[in-house]
Amino acid sequence: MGLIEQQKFLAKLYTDDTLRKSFIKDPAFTGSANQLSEIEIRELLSIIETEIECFAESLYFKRLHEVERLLYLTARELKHDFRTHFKVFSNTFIPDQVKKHLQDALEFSEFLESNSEIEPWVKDLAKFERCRLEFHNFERRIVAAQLKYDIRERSKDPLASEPALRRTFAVWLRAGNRTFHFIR
Amino acid sequence: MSTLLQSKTLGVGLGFREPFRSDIFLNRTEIDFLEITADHYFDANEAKQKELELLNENFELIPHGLDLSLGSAEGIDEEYLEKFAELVEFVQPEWFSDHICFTRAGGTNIGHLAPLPFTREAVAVVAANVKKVQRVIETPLILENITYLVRFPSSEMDEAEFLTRIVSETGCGLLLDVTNLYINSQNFAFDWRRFLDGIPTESVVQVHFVGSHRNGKRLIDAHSDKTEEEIWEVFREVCKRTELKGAVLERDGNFPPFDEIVNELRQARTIMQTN
Ligand SMILES: [Fe+2]
Repeated sequence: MGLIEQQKFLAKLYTDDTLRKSFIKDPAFTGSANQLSEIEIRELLSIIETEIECFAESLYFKRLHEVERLLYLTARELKHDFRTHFKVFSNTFIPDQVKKHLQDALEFSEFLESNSEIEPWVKDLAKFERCRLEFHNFERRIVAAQLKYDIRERSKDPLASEPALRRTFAVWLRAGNRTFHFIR
Repeated sequence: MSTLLQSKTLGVGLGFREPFRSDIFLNRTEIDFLEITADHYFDANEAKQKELELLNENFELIPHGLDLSLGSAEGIDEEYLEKFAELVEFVQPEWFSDHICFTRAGGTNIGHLAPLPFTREAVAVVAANVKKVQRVIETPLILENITYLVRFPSSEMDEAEFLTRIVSETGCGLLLDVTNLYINSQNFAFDWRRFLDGIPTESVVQVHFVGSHRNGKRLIDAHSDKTEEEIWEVFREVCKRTELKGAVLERDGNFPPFDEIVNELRQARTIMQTN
């Protein structure tokens, strides 16, 4: 077995927490299930808890920071929970498109929107940010989002009171080189 | 290397990022060329295509790829290569570049540049992949050294020898990232001057430079800091050892006022001209 199998396993190790844990717990089983020889298992085991973990962590934080930047309103409201949910999400999804961070942000937003632990008005905020990203990044002429809560004040001011239950529409429009946006 | 010898010297350039859009035109005389991230123009929407056309009309461009994955033992992605070829065809650059690393394997995209073990097998993999690229794209390809956090006990040589073997097997020039070299030398306690002794410096066509960033015990390539004196020192030493065709400031974030960028470009130009 050579570099092909080793790289396949490494790519998974770098991006999958659970696999790293199971490799540390039972290296012989996990390694051979991934077509690694004994020598290769020993080699990776000698660097799994130091260098591989460190690299995996740097990849994870890179993803997290980019998604926090793209979904800044949602991140601001969820505070530490944003990271907790992203940790769970990042183990279930790996972006594969050129605009990886955008893909990550869009998918993560949908993940939050369908998560029962999230407050409904925060889900609306995530939906609002997802639609805004879709409008600006996919050259859509029009994007509209129907929201259950009136997020207008809170999206401008984190100290404003919690959004009231009131059906609202957020719309983004493009006409020539100009773009328009309103919430009503 | 033969075609590279005929490539003209471009001078000091800047890695194009969207926030620089207006400043680059206001400071055109300070920027000899632009390095564009190739991936951002694959399947480009209308706005991106227009941006590419505008940049191409006004600047000499060098496409820099992130995802050719030249170290992938399973081979490179043909669709990606095809898109890269179309971009190179459109831009008609003096050369184009990507990294000595792998970014995907077995359907998993790692999302970043992952290091290779410094082995003969990995040299052969890179050489085979580069040959494939060279069959599709005639424009010279140059190869960049990366920063790494993982080192493989199975490595049979040091990084300098690894790069040297790749250069000799592929005939490619090097894009020496002096910041990456400095970061690795600090994180893994080696002497960057000895590293330079170990590579064919005459093969270095272009350099990248930007400040390093401290993250706990390590330095990382965040591309968000001003170039520090230690990195200018590496830059100076490289310029003493070879005649560079280009140097690119690679700033990706924490953008300063554009004057600071211009000052760094000027400093690089002075170093290139006086050494
Ligand atoms: Fe670089």
